Amino acid sequence: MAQRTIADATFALETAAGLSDADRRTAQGEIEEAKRLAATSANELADARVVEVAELRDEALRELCDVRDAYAELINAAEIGRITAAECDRALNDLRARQRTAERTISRTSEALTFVEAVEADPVAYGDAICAKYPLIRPTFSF
Amino acid sequence: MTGQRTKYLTTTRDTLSRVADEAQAKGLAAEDALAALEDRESRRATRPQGRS
Repeated sequence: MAQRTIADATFALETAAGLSDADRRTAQGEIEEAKRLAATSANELADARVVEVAELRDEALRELCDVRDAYAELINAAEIGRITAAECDRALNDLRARQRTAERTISRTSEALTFVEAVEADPVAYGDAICAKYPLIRPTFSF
Repeated sequence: MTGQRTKYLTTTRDTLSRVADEAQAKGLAAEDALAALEDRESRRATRPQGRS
């Protein structure tokens, strides 16, 4: 029994000499099962990233809309002189901080998008790449 | 599911970015409004007192 990446196992099978048809079929079956598990793991990770973004999305969108509208109110208040410059400056700093915080969700969404695109392009390859990085989670093959 | 996640995340990112851009534009306009307000206050402070 050997823990290998799917790429290694595939190469080993392709270059193995003297295998009976039955052994080759068994080995091929193990590779197919490893591929299925790798794709499942990669898809579960991608699903988790989507859920993470979905949980942040509504609040971030609401906050950005609130900040945008608050800027507009601040402009109006400043133009008609309803507030002092010091008050306006404080309010502006507060809104900038809120905007920066909400905008972090955009960065997280972009990161999740890059990740999910890689998974969706080739879930088996992505799952196998994780196995290549962490030897202890590599699938076990009989060859 | 394949493709739907990418579509969802792309739409989410674009929606958030659009509102963030709107907020950014309003923020810049608010900075201009603050500068104008400071200018008015400054001129008011240096205006001679006691005249109507």
